[in-house]
Amino acid sequence: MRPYALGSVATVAIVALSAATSCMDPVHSDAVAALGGEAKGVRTGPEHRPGQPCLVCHGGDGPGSPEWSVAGTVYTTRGSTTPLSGATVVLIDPAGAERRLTTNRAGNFYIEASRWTPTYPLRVRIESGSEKAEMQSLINGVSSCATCHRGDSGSARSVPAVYLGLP
Amino acid sequence: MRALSPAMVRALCMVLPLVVVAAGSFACSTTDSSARESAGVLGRTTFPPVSDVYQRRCGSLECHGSIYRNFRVYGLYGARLSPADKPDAPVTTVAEYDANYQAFLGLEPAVLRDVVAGGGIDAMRLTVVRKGRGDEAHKGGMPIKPGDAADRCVLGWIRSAPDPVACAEAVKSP
Repeated sequence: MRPYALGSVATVAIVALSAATSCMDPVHSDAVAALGGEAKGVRTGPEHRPGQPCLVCHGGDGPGSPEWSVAGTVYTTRGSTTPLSGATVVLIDPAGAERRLTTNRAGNFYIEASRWTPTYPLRVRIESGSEKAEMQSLINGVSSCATCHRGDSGSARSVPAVYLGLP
Repeated sequence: MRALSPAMVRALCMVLPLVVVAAGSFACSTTDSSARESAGVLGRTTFPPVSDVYQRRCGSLECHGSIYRNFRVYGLYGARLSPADKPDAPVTTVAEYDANYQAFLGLEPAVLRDVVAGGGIDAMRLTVVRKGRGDEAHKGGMPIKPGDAADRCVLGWIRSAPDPVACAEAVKSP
């Protein structure tokens, strides 16, 4: 191969490598990797990864699709890992407009960003039968419940996983 | 250049360490870690109701309850200052009100001092006011609407005319 041809190949290779790596966000990649693999026996879909911060993957930067604007998981009681299915999650924007979502068998709920991109702050209420509970604080911009709601007891920087309080 | 005599070298060896130590101690003595910004007449004693409003409207864990925010707000239902406390208990502590007060004053201390000196008329010069009202790009939207109870609470305090009734109303809604 002639020298100038080698140079061209090297240039093309460098440009291609730069293009391939320039869009990678290491922080996002680390956040996705930290979620780990799928649970055994659970297929990728609406019921996978309950209790995880859904918008890490479904927030628009991938790898999950579709993109969601609000998503989370509801459990029956504080500290429980039993999902609360069929509950209604009511999201209320500053104008008082409500969006009502229903939890599935895994306790998961979500809404696509293409259907609704909320104006913050949001208030949240959960209803199931005659039981109702409203979140004590507002959501001001991060709409994966598990960003703040983690584990069973909470800490100085987190609150327990979302629950309604049913026995 | 003329070489130093052994006596001069000995003298220098004795004096130089003293000079270095003296310089070092002076260099570190210009900062008083206990010094706090006062921003004029804005009172810490009248701040808790204002702090409660910021906690309610802005202090959720993912927003100004996050350690990644310059204006960091601690308290009930948000981030806690003490690792032993949790968001839902106990109620906001004195140390947390102190921390929130310093966080507010530390955002733009020079501008705040000017605004307070001017009777709070130019409160819109403060980024914290503009962002809360949505007058400046703010990821959290517009948690404080011009003229609402939270707005009256914050502006009243900045104008040295605290309005605890407005503050109490703002915490109850939305």
